[in-house]
Amino acid sequence: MDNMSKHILVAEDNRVMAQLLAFSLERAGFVVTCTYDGATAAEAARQELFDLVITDYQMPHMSGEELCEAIRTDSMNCEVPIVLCSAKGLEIDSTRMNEVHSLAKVFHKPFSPGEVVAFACSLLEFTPVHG
Amino acid sequence: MATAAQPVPLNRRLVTKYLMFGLACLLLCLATSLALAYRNSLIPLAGIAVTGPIVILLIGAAVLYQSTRLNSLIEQQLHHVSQATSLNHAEIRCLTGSDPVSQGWNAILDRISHQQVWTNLEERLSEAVKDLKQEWVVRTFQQLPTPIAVTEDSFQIAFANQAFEALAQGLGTTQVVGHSLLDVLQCQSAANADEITDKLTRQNGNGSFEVHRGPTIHDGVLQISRHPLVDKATDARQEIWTVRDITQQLLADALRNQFVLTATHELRTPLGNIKAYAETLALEEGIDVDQQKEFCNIINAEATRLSRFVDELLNISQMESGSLNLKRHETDLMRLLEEVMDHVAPEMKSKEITLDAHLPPKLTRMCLDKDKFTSALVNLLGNATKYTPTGGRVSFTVEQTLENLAIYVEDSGVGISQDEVPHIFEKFFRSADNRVREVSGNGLGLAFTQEVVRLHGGKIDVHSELDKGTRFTVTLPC
Repeated sequence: MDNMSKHILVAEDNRVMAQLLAFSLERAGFVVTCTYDGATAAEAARQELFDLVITDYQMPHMSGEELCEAIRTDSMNCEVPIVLCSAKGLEIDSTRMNEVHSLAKVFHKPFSPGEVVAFACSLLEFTPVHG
Repeated sequence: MATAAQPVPLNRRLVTKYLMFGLACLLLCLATSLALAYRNSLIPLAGIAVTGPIVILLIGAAVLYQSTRLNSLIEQQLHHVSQATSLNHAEIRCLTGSDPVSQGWNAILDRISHQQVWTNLEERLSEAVKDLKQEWVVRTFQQLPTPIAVTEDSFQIAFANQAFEALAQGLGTTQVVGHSLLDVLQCQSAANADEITDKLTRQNGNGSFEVHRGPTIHDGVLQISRHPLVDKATDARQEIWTVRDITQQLLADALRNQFVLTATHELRTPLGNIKAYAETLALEEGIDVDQQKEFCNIINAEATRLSRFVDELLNISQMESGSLNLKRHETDLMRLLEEVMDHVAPEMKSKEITLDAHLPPKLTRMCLDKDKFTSALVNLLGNATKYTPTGGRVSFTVEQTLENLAIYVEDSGVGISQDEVPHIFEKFFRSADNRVREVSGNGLGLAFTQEVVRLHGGKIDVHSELDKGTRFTVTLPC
């Protein structure tokens, strides 16, 4: 397993959840950049290389879908795996999203941060420091 | 129909028969007299035998004629009646004379005449009532607030009420009869002629479609309903069109949907946070004690947030059902206001917002529902904090006279546009401003605040300027 530092971009407008995700990912050994809206996350993706993007769907300024499009077309992270977190029951055409933006995974809220960490470790072939 | 020949009057018939009988008797007497005269024995008697009966016959005939004259006249009248198509057309005349038969006949004629008069009156009244009913129906149809039109071939308008004609003001005329329904709908719609024609022709039988006056629901939406009409006698096909303004219904639906989305989010977010933090505490090992305490505080805060939202929902439910009651007690106003400021202090601190509080040194106790009035003021100060950018200022001023208590909450936040100001106290209303949408909210706080102030006998006003800030003024009688 490659345990070089893996950099994850988190875009989540729910600050309480964003901080817990960041805590869980950092505890596992990832380097985390936490943003609270789509526009800030898109700007970060233009400035820096990431190994994984975890984004919420409903966010102010720029939605998760718009962020995916921005990342795929206008950033140095056009190939980065993207994980989408959406509220259960929200009308999202997952098939279309997958086809258009090549999503790595869709998590439905409420999800467990442990699940996200486990998926990130598996996708990036990373051995977590804790757990 | 050929009129039957006038029958021989009764008296003449009777007299004829009488005379024929008499003639027969006379001939017999004459034969007898001639026989006797031939024998030269009864010549004088023969003369009397012949002339006597003749005289008696003639007198008898005259009496018979006279006595049956009335019956004959009556028979003639009855013959006229039988030949006529109605009593009106029958030539019936009264009889002269004061005898019982003439009087009886005249009485019958009089009663028939009266009956005819009543019958004519009844017919005229019936016609008049029918006309009145028809006029009433037409008048009612005209006064109906629902626009209604009747079209014939090719959607040509054959009939329309006043409400429908009002829709056609864009045509430059109020007389829509003869115009096409398409023209009337087009002057009410943002769609082009082809789109409207498509909607009109797509319908078969009963159905309805919508016509949008502009790009948004707020511009107005009309529902056009079609009801086919077939005249069974002539097989002519017409259609009745009714128009209903469904703008408010669609706006209410949109608001309700928005509320459901907001409520779902407001419930799901803290619940998801509580679950995630609790799970992390339960499953993760090696989390230090300070971190654990912070997580527990976050769980507590999210639970409080959830509880507060549920309370707001309950308050709104009580408002809707009219059962939001106040429990008023003598309240220490100064303590209440301090509690309000303490409540919003943490959020203000996190956003580095300065609170300028201007309270009189002393405040008279007032009869208030402490919990609800506190919530109402917390809503105002909380909104001021939420919609003011980091580092801004919020002022909280209280003035009390013998008559009134006035509370001013003013912020230097995003402000409210003038077209939205009239709506901000509506339940579930949230500004379309993205800066407001970014902040969590459910559109219930101001509705609740207004209702609480109103129940206390007071009023709340708002003055706002976009990008400059907003001031709410609450006035209560002391």
